[in-house]
Amino acid sequence: MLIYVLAYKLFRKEVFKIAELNQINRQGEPMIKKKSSLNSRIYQYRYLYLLTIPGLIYILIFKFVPMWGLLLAFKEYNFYTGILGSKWVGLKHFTDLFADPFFLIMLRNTIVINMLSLILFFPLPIIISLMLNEVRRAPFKRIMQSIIYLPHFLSWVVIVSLTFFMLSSNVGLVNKLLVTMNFQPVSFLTEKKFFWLLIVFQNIWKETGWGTILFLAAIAGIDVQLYEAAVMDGASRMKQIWHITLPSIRPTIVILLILRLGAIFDVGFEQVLLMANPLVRDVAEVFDTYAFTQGIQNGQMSLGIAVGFFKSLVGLTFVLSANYLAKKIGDEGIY
Amino acid sequence: MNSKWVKNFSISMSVFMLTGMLSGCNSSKSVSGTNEKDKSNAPLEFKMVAALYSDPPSLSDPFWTEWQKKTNTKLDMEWIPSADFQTKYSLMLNSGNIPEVSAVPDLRSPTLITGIQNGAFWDITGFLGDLSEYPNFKKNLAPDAFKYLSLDKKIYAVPRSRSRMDGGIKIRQDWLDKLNIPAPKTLDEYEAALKKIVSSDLDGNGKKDTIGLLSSSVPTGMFDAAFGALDPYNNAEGGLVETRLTPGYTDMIEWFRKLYSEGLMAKEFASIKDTQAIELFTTGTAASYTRSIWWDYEWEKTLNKTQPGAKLVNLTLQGPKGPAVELNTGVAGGYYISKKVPEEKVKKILKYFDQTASTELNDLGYYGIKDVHYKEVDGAKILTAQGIKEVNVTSKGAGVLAYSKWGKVWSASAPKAYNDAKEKEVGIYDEVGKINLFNNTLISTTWGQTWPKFDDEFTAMQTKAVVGQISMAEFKTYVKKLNDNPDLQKAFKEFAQSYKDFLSK
Amino acid sequence: MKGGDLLSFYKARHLTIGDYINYTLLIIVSLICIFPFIYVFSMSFTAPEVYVPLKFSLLPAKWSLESYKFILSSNSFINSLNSTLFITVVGTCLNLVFTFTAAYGLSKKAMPGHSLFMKAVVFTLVFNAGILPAYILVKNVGLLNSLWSLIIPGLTNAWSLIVVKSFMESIPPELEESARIDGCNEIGVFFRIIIPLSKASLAAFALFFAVGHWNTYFNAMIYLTDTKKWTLQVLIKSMIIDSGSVGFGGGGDETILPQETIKMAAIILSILPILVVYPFVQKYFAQGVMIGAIKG
Repeated sequence: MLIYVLAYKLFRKEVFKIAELNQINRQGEPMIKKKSSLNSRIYQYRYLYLLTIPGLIYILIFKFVPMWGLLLAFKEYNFYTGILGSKWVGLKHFTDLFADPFFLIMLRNTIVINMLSLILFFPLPIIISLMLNEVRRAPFKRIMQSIIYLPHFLSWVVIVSLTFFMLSSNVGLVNKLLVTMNFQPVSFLTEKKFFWLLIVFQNIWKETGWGTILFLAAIAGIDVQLYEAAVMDGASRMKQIWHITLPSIRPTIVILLILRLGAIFDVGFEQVLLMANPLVRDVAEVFDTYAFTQGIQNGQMSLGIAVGFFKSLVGLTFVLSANYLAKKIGDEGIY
Repeated sequence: MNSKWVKNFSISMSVFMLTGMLSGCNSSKSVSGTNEKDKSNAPLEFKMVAALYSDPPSLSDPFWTEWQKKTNTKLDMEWIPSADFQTKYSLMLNSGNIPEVSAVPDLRSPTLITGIQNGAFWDITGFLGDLSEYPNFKKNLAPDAFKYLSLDKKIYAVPRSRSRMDGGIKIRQDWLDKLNIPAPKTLDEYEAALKKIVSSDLDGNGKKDTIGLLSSSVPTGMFDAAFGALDPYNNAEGGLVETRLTPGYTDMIEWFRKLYSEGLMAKEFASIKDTQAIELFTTGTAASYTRSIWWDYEWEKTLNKTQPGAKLVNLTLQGPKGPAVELNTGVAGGYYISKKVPEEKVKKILKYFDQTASTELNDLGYYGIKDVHYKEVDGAKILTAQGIKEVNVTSKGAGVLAYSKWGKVWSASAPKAYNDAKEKEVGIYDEVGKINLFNNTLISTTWGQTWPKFDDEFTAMQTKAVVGQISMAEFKTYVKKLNDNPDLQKAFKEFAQSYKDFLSK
Repeated sequence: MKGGDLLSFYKARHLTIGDYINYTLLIIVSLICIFPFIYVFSMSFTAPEVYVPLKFSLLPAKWSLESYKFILSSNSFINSLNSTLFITVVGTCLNLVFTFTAAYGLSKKAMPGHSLFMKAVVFTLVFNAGILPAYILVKNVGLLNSLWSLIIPGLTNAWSLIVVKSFMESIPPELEESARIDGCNEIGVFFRIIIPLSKASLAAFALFFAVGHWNTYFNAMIYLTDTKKWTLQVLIKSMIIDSGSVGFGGGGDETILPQETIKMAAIILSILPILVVYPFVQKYFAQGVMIGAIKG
C-alpha cells in the first residue's frame, strides 16, 4: 500500500498534465479519442495496470498453471509413470461416462436439484434482505441479522444428523407427532419422492441467511436521496421497494444469477453424499458423488478429472449464454 | 461386523504409527529422507506418516521419550487426521512425495495397490526370510499375519497387530430377563426373542416402538458367517466367488427380508448413520446391534442413565452353516517402506519394528510407564489421567505390537472383573469365527477395476430386497447376472489364484 | 438532508400493518435458524457424565466447561490459535487488497487487454484442475508446510472478482470524473472515491474471507505437515473422530469423554469470530453511505 502512495506522489505532476485528456465517459472510454498505438495506450492506463496486475499475476500462477491437470482427463494417469508417461486415451473417459447407464440419471438428478434450488432458494435471500431492510429498529435488525447467519456455520454432518432426528420414521420428531395425531409415519428419508425437496430445503435453511449479506451490502449502496424524493412524492413503502430498491440491486441479482448458472452442475457434494442411502440412490447420484467415489475412492483419478471437465464445460456454456441474454436485455453482464 | 466397513471412504482402522516424534525435529521438512550419521549406536532416524486419532502428541512427552529411548530411535512423524488419511496419502503418493515409512490402515486402497505394483515399496520377503532374525515377529504375531500382507506371494509390509475378535451381536440382557427369554443360541431363537421384545412395550411409554435389530445398512457383518458366505465357494469354472455373490449370502438376504417383514428391523435402517445408530442404541431404542465388543462397558453406562439395570451381552448364534461369528485377520494395515530408502536402513527399520512386537514394547504401547501413565489396581492396569492423554489409539500406532487376543474385547475403563467376564462370554469367538478373506487379503486387479461400477448398485439391490421393494426372485436374477458377467468371472479366477497363493505359503 | 435525519425521519412514522407482518415473519425465520443452536450451545456446556444422547433440552442438565477444557487442553491449542489468527488477519487483508484492486481494473473496459483479462477470469470461474495439480504446484513453489500455503494460493478468485467488479460498476461515474478533474489518476480515484464508497462490499467480503480462513480445514490438512502449524479446525477434527469416519472400532482405548459434547463445543468455537466481529462490521451495512458523496 505504501508503494502505491509513493507512486502516486511521484507521478502527481505528470497527472496534472494529462488530467484533462483523461476524462472518461460512462463506459470508461476516453471522451477524447486519440489515435493511439497500443504502447501509448498502455502507458495511458499504467496506473490501472498497477492496480490490476497483482491480482492477475496471482490468477495466472495459481489458477492457470495447475490447469495442466485438465489434460489428465485425456490420459490414464498413473503416478508411477508420471504425468508425461501416462498414456493418452483421448475421449475414452468421456465416452465411458456418457455410456454409463447411470449417466442420464445423474444428469436428471443434477438438473432437477439445481432447478429446484434456483426457483426456491435463489429468491429467498433477496426477499429476506428486503425485509430486513425495512426493519427500523437498529438493534432488532442487528440481532436478527446475526442469527440468520448461524446455520451457515454448521457442517453438513450436523445438519444431516439433525434432519435424521426430525424426519426418521422410527424416531423422528415429525413422525412422532404424526403418530400422536393418528397418522401413519412417513418414510421421509428413504422414499425417493422426498429426496430432492429435502436437499433443497436443507440448503435453504443453511444458506439463506448467509446469502443476505451480499444483498444487504448492495442495498446499503443505494443513494438515500432516491428514497427521500420518493417519500416526498408520496410513494408507499411497497412502491419504494419496487421502484427503487429492487431496480438498484438488479445488477447484483443478475450477476449472482449468472455466477450461479456457472455452477449449474455443482451440487452440494458432501450434503448429497451424507443424505444418500441405497434406497434413494436413483435420485441421489449426481456427478460430484460419482466423481468422488470413482475418482478418489477407487483411485481412478483421470475419470474424476474427466467428470469435472465435463461439468466445467457445461457451466461455461451456461455462463456465456446467460451473460449474452443479460446483455441483450440491457444489463451489464459479467464482462 | 460389516465387511463393508473396511471399504469405507474414511479411514476405518488406522495403523498406529510409530510416534516418538523427536523434540528436536525441524519443522520445515517436506520431503522424505533424513541424514544419517553413521555411528553404530546413534539412534535410528527415519520419517513416518501415520493416522492421527487424537490430539497431536508432543514429541517430548514422557511416553514418546521413553518409546524412543527403548528403541533407540529418533522418529520424525507426520500426522494425518484419521478421517482424511486416504485422501492425503493418495495425494502424497500421486505426487511422488512419500516418506520413508508409511503406516497404512486400509490395505485395499487402490492407490496403495497401484503403488505396490509399480514398485514404490520394498519387497521385504527376502529380508524377513524365515524370521530367524526377527524373533518377535516369529512368536508374537497373529496367525498368518504376513500372509495377509502379501501381494503375488511377496510381502511388502510388517503388520499392525490388532485382535481378531472384534464384533459381537449384542442384545439387551435385561430385556431378555424381563420377558423370561433365555439367551438365544440359534438364529431362530434370536428371531423369536426379537419378536417378543418388539411386541412388548418395554420402555413403558405406551407405544410398541422398540426396534429389534438396529443397523445402519443391511447388517451383513457377523451374520454372513452363519450362512456360509465366508466359506470358500467355487463356481463352475473353478473361480473363487466373492462373498457377496455366493449362494450363502443370498440366503442371508432372504433371512433378513423375513426379519424386516416381521417388523424386527429398523424401518428406515438404510438412512441411519453410524453415530446415529450408536445414539439410538445407547438410549434404549433398540434391542440388538452389532458392534465391537469392547464398547459394552461404556454403552451400559450411558444406557443406565435413562434405563437403569441395562446390560449388554454378545451372542453366539448358530445358523444353517455355522455360527454367526466373524473375525478380523489380526492385521489392521501395515507399515510400508519406500523404495527410496537404502537397503541398510531397511534392515535397521525392520529390526526396529521387530522390537516393537516384543511384549515389553507392547505393554508400553498399551499402558505406558508405570505410575506415570497407569497404576496397578487389583492386578489390573488402570490408566491415569496422563495415561489417557498420552497413551491412546494414536500412540499405539507406534509399532507392530504383539498380537493381542483380547484387544477389542477389553474395555479400557472397565474394572478387571468386568473384563474377565467379557472374556468368558466371547472367548469362543476366536475358535469358531470365520474370516472374510475378501476383506483385505485376496487381490484381483480385474475386480478392482470392474466391481466399483456395480458396488453401489449391488448395495441398493440388496437393500431393496431386504425391505421388500423387489422380490427375492428379482434379486437372485440380479446376482446370477453378475455371476455370469465375464469380467467378474475373470476376477473370480484371479481370486482363486490369490487364494492358492495364500494357502501355499 | 443528512444521513442521520433519514433515520429519524423514519422513526417518526408509526408502525404499519406491513411492519407487523414483517417483524413476525422475520422473527419466525430467526427462530427457525436459531433453534438447533440453542441445542448445540446447551450441549456444549453439558457435563459429560450427565450427557444423554438425543435429549433435546434448552439448558444443560448440569453446567460444565469440560468440553471446552478438553479442546483447550490440547498441546497445540495455543499454537493452532496463533496459526488461525495469523492466516485470518493477514489472509483477509491480502484477499481484500488483491481482490479490490484487480476488480477495479477489470471494471474499466477501456483498459487495453481488458477483454482478454475478463475472459481469463471467467475461464477460471468454471474450470479448475483439481487437488492434485494444486498440491504439486504448492509443493514446487516451496510452500508446503508453510502457513503461507493457506494464504497465497487463495488470494482471490473469479467469483469474488466478478461480484466486486459489479459493485464498483454501480458507483456513479460522475464521482470519478469529478475526482479526475481535480487531478487524480486512477490510483487516486481508487483510494479516494472507490474504496470509501465500497465500504459495504468491503465489509461483506471481509466477512466472507475471514470466515473462510477461520474455518480452513482441507487445505491446512493437506499442506501442513507440522502439527504445530495446524489450524483450529484441523486440530479439533483430529481430536474428534468424526461420524462416518470410524469403521469398526478405532482400536484400543478411545477418549473417555463423549464425543458429542466436544463436537458441540467445537461448533461454538467456529462461530465465535463472526459473533465477535460482526457488530463492528455491521454499520457498513447501513444505508447512508452515499450521502454527501456527490455534493462533497
